[in-house]
Amino acid sequence: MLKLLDSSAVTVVLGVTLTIVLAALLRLAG
Amino acid sequence: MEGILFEVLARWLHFVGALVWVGHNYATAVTRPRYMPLTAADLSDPESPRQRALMQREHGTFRYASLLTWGSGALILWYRGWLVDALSLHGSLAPLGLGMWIATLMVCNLWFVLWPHQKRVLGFVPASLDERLRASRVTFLSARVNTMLSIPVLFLMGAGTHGIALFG
Repeated sequence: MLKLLDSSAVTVVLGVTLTIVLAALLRLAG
Repeated sequence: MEGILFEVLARWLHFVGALVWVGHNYATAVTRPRYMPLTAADLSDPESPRQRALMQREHGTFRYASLLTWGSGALILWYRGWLVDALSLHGSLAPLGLGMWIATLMVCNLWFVLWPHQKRVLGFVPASLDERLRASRVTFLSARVNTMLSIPVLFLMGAGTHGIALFG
């Protein structure tokens, strides 16, 4: 799993995905 | 008037600190898009190009910038009387609070995971060659985790101030 972070591009994709998930959770909770 | 000036200055320090800190991560992500493991030859020869590059790299400013960023952010929340509600993810302060929790993880990751391992890699703390090689992998992953986490934190910083209607 951590090996995915070897690539900058994958790191950014993971960061954006995490952002979308957290924003959706906040929206649902709000 | 003094209150506004204080908050603007704290916010300015917050932006500058974040740029210096996370800018280091982003610069590395751009200049070295793929992981290039250090080798025993790199670490055992002080004149090797990679060891020289490692030693010449800046190792202090971004760590202290992380404290400035965290501290100024906490100060703004405290000054506004928002700190407890943000940290307990209460109401419209939940986005900002979540951002602060993730940023706190990032500061801990930097100071308690990356830096102790980096000191081994650099030879500031005595360690065998194998330990130094393993530590270099940990520092890389630690930095990349912070790069990944900075993306939602920046979103939550913006959403907390300018996007309250989205989450309120």
